Amino acid sequence: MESYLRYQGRSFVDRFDANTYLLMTKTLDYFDPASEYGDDLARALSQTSAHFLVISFTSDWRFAPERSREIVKALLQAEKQLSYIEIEANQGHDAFLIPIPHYMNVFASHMKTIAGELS
Amino acid sequence: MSPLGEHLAVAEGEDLRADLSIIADWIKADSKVLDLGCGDGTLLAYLRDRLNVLGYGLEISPFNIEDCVEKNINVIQADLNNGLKAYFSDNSFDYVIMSQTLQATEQPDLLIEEMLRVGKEGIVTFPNMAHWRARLQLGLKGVMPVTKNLPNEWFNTPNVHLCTLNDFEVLCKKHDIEILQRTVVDHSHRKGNWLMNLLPNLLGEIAIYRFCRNG
Repeated sequence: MESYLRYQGRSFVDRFDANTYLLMTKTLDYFDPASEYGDDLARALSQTSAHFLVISFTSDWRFAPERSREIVKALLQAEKQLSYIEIEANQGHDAFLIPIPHYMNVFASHMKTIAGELS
Repeated sequence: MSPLGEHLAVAEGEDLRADLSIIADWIKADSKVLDLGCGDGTLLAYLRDRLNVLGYGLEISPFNIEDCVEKNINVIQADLNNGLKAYFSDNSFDYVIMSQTLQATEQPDLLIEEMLRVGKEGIVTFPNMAHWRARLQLGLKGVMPVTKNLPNEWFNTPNVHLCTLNDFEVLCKKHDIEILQRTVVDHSHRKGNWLMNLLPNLLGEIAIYRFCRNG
């Protein structure tokens, strides 16, 4: 078992530069869609025409519900079509990969609406 | 054909709940509406399809939210007891509606204040605790009223702040709120009404008010 893990760990390190992670994390942290709009997120989103669905997961610390609520507030200010749901989940950031019924139902309904509008 | 067809049929108004259809009559076309405790989004769908209203709903139940998203209603999952500050700025709506929800909130007086901060006008509906059936049950039988309109027992009711029309009007006076319109849906006065036949258990005595900030 130990040698298996050592082998997998070694091959991962060989294939993957750890600095990539640092860079990606920083890029995520520094991404600010409002920076070119006087730090006004509502203004940044005002030109969009999409029907938004914002979903957050209670245990996600990477994209916490608080951040999603900021997006919702800005979309409301910009009078956009939007829905927001907070999914109870304890899988952390990976929760979006888990087939949680409420999450799946809301997501499916939303996609169905979009498909209906396109056809 | 849109996949929303079956829901649009509901929104055509054939079986819109009595209090909801009165609310719809009070709302001007092309306005902006916030519905607190919007349930399955029936009212907002009706207002959108009939009056071209830009509507948003707040709802706490994930099941109701699923129904709203299915109807393509703008819905935000939130607990009304946390107030409206997190999302809504002053005077950002024409109407803020709360139907059959006021009596189940923790602080109705503060929420009414919030409604008039966010909206130019507020509309509430609530079961009238002074309806004669309720009075009879409490006054003569000496038990907490259980009626069509107040279906729960005292130990399992979500209604923690029931009131009467008089109570509500006293509160409005105290908070410098002007009542613009008042309607009472009384099922004994609406006997034979097509809506009543359709939804008899919803047409008990319900108070409906439209109000704004005084002056």
